[in-house]
Amino acid sequence: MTAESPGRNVVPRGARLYIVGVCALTGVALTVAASQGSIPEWSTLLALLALSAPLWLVGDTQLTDNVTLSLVSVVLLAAAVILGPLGAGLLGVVVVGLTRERMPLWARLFNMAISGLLGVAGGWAYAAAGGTLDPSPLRGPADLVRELAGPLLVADLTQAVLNVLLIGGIMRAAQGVPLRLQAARLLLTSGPVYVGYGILAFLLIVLWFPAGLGPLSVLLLLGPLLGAHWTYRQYTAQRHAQEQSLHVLVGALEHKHPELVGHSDRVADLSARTAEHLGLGVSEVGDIRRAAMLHDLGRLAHPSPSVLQGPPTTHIATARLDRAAQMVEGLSFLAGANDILGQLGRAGTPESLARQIIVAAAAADMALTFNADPLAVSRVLGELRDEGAVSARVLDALTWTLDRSPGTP
Amino acid sequence: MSPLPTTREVSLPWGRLLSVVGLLTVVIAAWFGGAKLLDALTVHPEVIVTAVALIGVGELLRAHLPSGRVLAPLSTATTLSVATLADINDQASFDVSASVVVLIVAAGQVLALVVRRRLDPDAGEANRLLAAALVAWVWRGIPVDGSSLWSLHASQTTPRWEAAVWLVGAAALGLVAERVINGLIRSLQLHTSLVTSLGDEFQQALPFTWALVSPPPIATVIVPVTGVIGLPLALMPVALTLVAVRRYAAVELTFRQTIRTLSRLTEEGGYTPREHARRTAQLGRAVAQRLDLPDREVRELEYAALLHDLGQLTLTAPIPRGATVLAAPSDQRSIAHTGAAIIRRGTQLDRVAALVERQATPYRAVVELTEDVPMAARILKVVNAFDDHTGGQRSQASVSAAIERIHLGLGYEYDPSVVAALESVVATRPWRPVPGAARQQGSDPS
Repeated sequence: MTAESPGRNVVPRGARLYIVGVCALTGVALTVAASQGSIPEWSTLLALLALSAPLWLVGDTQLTDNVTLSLVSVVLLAAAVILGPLGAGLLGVVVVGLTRERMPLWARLFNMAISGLLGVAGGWAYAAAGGTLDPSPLRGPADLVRELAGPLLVADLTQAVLNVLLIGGIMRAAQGVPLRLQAARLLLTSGPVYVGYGILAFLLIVLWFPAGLGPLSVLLLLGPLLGAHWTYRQYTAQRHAQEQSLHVLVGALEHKHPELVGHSDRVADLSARTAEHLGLGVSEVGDIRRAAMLHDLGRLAHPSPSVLQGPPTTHIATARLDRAAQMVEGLSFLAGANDILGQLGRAGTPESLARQIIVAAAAADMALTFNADPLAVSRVLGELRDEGAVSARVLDALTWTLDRSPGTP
Repeated sequence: MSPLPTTREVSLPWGRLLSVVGLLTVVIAAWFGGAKLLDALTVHPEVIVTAVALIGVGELLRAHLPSGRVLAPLSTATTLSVATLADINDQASFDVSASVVVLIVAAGQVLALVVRRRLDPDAGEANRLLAAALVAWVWRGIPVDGSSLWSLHASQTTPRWEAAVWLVGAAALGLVAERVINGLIRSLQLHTSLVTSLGDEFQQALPFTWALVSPPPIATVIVPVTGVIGLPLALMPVALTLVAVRRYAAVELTFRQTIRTLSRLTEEGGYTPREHARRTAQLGRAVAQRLDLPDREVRELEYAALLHDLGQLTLTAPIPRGATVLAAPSDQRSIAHTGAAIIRRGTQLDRVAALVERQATPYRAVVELTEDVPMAARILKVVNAFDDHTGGQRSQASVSAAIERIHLGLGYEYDPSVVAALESVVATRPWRPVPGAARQQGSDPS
């Protein structure tokens, strides 16, 4: 598994240096593995490469915002046993290097380096834990656990921890997210996936060697894995469709109030990027984005064919927010956003970061859209600070985000 | 005016009949294999207890598909594995008759029944038991060259790849049997053609059909190496699929809730009467099933029916009672186009938007101008008019009056085949929702 690579198109200098460092480390690891004499059987390496082709064609599946299911990872873990450290490392570099998904060159390089390093590290960990390099004669649970399953688990854990550290490192270098925070999140989210990889890799090896199926074992496992993969694809697509259904709500609003076209999207984007800059978690950022997207929804519920009363204001009417919250009540995926909409409507209560971010982003966008004065944004944000509605920390983050937004004066 | 049909269709309880067939199979198996089961218990207690426990757990951990189908993949995988199981590490071969396999499967299902305290209304248990019985009988019972497929392929002298290929075939046989029986039952329950029902069946259960082909061969090949622990191990890939399907089903349910929320926008704004969209969706589903539309198109029609009035949000003055059927044709088209434009903002809703857009097209455009108006859009037009005319009333008088009004536009505005299906559906008042979809109804339009 690899977590999301540096997401933005522009890769900061620190991140580029980090990637070069990881690539160098991988090169050293592969060289050491080769010097130790763990040369794989090239026919087996080619067979595994060929058998990875269907998995390569399928590609990876995004399970959650920051966890990806990669069936190639099962083969890479098994390769630590079947091919040894060097073979597993080479397989990782080649297979991941050929990934079909379009990505920036730096991200592809980083993923190749990580996979190679994980392959070598997995092979070393397996050997260090006493794993056998010839599992064919193994029979019975005791032998299998001692000489195969146990060491494989060690290799699995090694790969999981190493992956988390390397991904955490790039997030630190690219986006300034603290390593400890990122590592903890990744371990929690990707841990169960790695357990699954371990069990599937164990099955693959047992089928290949002790059960004597050879390469056919990959095909036998392929059916269920592709079934699961296909379903996860459906799941991911449906989740995406669910998120996109919010655009239908916004579309209805914009058809009714054409003067608001684009406002909801802009406020959502601005709020989410401000929240990211403030170091909020993935799910919090998602909730803030959705709440910001829906903050004007209450206008739809107006019983008459209304238009905006006068020019748009910088403040969001409480009644409208309550109405918006009511309209999306009961939708489980909007539970977090709904809480925020509720907070938005209650000024005077302890100010949550989410509330402050959205109020400020909405005010800034209104000022940018409806006011020709280039200083209008700073004036509006200044008013919010003077009223005590938004803290200086949030305003600084918003200003930082605005400075990096296209089209901002 | 065309009189309403007076006869009501009688639907036999096909699920219960299948359960009776399953029960009879168990009785016959007990008659021929009861004593053999006791013998097998003395030789293979671990295998039998493990299999019974796994089947029991598998029957409890079900997958509720968005279409309303309920599957128990872990149970299916275990039953098929038991049917083909051969050598076991450090033990004698699992050489038992097909009737013993049936009794083991039945024991697991009874175990789950004790916990659940109710049978599957679609007789899924009986279906799985019959599929396992078929595989066990073919694999262990049919003589081949004086032996059986089990004897031929259990032997370690047979190349393992060859045995695996045969085992995949046996598992596929069981899966196809399960799907065919389920398709047949749904076809009888929903009055749809067997071809449509089987098509839906294999499409909906596709991931499990892929996933379940492997565990029986995997179990049969690794148990000689690992011992009994190989049985649950072989289920792991299926468990992964099960988790994926359950997550998918959950998010699909939420998506339906979101569509329902969207459909309420016009009600909240005072443009359409309360429950109009829900009633239209419910009736549209029933008519679509009567017209033999596949599951996917039925679901799209349902979404389109829920969202068909969304375009009214932009009206400067609401239509009286929100009844688009009373609006001028140009207004109807404008509302449909606006609604479709709004819906297209959501991805994966293009086909739904197309239905909403085409709802205003009169049937004569299909006949005279050979316009391609999907059947689902024609259904939407008819059921929307029906609900607009009845205003949700279900009295004989209001239904007859609505049908009479629709007949005035028969062949010009409305597709006669759809109107005939509508009459057939409303004659069986209250029309029944899809069997098996009941689980989704709390927050669901159907």
